[in-house]
Amino acid sequence: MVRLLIIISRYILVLLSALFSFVSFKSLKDSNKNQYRYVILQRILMYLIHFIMFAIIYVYSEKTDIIFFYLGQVFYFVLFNIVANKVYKRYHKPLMNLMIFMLMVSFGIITRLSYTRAVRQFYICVFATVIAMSMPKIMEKSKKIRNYSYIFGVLGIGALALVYVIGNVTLGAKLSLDLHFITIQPSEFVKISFVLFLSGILYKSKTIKGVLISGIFAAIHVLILVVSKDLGTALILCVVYLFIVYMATGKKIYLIGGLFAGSAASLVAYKLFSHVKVRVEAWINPWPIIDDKGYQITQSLFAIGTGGLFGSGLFMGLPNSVPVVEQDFIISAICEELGSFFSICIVLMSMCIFIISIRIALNCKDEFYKLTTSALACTYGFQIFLTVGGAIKLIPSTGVTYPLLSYGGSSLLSTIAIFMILQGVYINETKHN
Amino acid sequence: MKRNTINDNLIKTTYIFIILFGLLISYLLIFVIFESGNIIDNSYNKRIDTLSNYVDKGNIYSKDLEVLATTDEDGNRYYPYASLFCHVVGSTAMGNTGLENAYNYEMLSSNVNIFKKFINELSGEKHPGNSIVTTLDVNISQNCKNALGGYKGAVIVMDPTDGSVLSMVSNPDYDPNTVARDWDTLSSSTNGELLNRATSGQYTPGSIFKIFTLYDYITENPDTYKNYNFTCKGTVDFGDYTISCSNKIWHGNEDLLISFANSCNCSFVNLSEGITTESLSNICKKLLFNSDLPIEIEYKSSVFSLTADDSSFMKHQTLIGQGKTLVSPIHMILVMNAIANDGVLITPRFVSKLIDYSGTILEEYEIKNHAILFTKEETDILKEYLRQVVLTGTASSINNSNYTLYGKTGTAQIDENGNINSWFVGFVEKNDKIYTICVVIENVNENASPAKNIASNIVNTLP
Repeated sequence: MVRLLIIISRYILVLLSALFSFVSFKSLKDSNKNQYRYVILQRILMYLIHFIMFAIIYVYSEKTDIIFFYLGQVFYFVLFNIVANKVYKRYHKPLMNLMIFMLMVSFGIITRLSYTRAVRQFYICVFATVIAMSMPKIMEKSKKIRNYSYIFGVLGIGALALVYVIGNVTLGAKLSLDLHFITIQPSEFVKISFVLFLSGILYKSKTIKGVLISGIFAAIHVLILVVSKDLGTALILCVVYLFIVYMATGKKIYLIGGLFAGSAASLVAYKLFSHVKVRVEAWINPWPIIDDKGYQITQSLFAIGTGGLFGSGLFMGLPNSVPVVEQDFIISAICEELGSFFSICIVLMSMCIFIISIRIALNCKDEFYKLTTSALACTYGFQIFLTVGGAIKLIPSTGVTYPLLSYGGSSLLSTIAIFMILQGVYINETKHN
Repeated sequence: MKRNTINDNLIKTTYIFIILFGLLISYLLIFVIFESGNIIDNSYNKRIDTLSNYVDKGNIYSKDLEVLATTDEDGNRYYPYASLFCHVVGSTAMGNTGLENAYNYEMLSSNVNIFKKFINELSGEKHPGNSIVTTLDVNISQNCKNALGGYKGAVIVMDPTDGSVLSMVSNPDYDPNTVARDWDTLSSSTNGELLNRATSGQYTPGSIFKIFTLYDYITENPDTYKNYNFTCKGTVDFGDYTISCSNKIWHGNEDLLISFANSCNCSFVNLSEGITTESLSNICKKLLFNSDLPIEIEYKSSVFSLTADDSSFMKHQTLIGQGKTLVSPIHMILVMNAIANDGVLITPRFVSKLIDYSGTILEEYEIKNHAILFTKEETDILKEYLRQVVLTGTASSINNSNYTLYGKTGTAQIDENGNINSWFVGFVEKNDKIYTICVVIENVNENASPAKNIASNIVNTLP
């Protein structure tokens, strides 16, 4: 009976998430007049999806803790909306809904994978939003952020260098700093400081000088990341650098030249570093090395392939057989149990988030924030390309997380911060009008 | 003006990212819809086994629809013929093997209609899984098993015209019904009960390798091989080593045909001058040594190992099948299949059809050509040589007027104490049908070479 319920729920979840993406895209198109309708529709749909996921988790696991956890989340989301309404009258509501929706799906799937981790993630989320809530206020008050670009640049390099010197090794890469009570991944925050640094330099000087100075800093960032074996972040920073230079100067040669230089650098990295070689080998043909280097990607493909278009239903698959499924391969778990259609809706919503961010940048008159916003959008978008592409074997796996969906405090904190920066830009811009 | 250009760049950037998102979505869809079916049926995919919580695994039938494996009321796998098909059909209790593994996903999928599925879900009943119809013949398998008796070894019988595996038995065996209970004994046993010797056994070929030596010599000396002549005096002395014929028999004056029929070691070592290592190596590669074989169940490839750097001793040893070369019985019978079928190797198959619980055919597996290994002219020559072995050579004792038998015997020395592996590979034309057969008996005393007699017993009982 429970199984039947779970099997039927798959179709309902796919239908609701498809509707949610449809409404989100529709809200992009229509004028402000009807905006509130879409916001209400989004809220109804996302609370329904959230409810269904946790209802199934409760029915299957029969733990009363789940009910309290669920109610705690609902209380938090509602409170979050009320406070946001009070503090900032005109924030971007569809974008906020998309963020909360992603968090809801994240809590659902992580609870299914590991209840204790989900609770931990929830606490971090509460902490993160309290901090991030102040972001737009800070941005409004402090006009000087743009003048601190070198501080951001040096800070980023310093943080990464610190990790390289005293960092912990997780899964072969130096990623985190152990502060005894908590471990943090500075590279997640460097993504933001890097963007603030780049836009600070480039909005002032779009000449070859600005491009060169920012390029030198970018190269140092990337080199430290490569020797720390954090290839995913290295790649993201490279791409963001190329795009922000292109957006600031409008010269395609930077983008095309950069792509060629990047390909050449990748080739050198492939020859030089064994950990790059391993990833590429596992991507080209993982089957002969299924026991070893190809294990992770093949398990991910099994998960996605066996789940099929509608998924196996929550608890009906074996997502935990994919190594680090809560982090780098969260999309495989979603594909397996909630279906590839559901995952496609998730990717579509990420695309929607990307488009909304670019829109905010388009309407922003302050060139510094225009560049910041669009570069953050690129960071977000490219990270999704890397994590999903890696899980489905479109590209070699680079070990990056899915923003907002994956388990991990630093990633969650920095992504919420990015979203609040976007909101801050939007709020300040609408105030000026 | 400036602002607008930046916005233009933003919009172009957006298009690039939309293409990236589109790439992700379309690749995911293509993977799930078109490609995933081929990859998920893998023993590393533990998800398939969770299907058995909701589906009663389907049956495995013989060629004549006798049940070889089924699921009983308690959900356990039951094998009516006990150990007879234990290697080829396999078992499930301690990890899937054989066809139980190769067709696991198919048999754990159910084609009952959605309405019935709904009723089953409500009443908590499992869906009946789909079944496979194999090409295995119960009678032939029983005869093979009887002929093999207490010997360690393997027998394969196939139909070379459509690639069907009619029988595949391996000794010693185990009872798949009690494999879980017997696991401790089986897994620690040194007898290799769990090993399917027919596909995964690797044996020194001995004289059956002379088929490859012969084929290479004919290919390299197409105009002169018919004029070949040699006088065998039982042994040949090469200074630091000697090569001798079995029991040091003097075969006397012989041409190539009679050298092959007599399996004359001295004469075959003498061929060495007309054989280049490079050519032999290429021919073995073409005939599927050191290559993947089109076999659905677990197997080992044959290993040909001779390079131009090896000593002439090693080359001589290899020519008579005593070098470092190792072969698996399934590979040897595939070569026979190609010779018996005018050079065309049909992809071997164990399963002909997939049917649902009511017997409706869901899929018929087509007969496919795997490769062309020989030309028709070459197989005609090889057939003449293989026939001569039975007419006047080492297998003349099993010649019989009821059928036309072709083949090659082999006696491979495996240690210094006179222990050998005994081989017979060949094919028979009987009652307008063609069967290929491969028999290998391991570790018997030199005086007994039982393989050809076992082959003869089996051929006598073939329909």
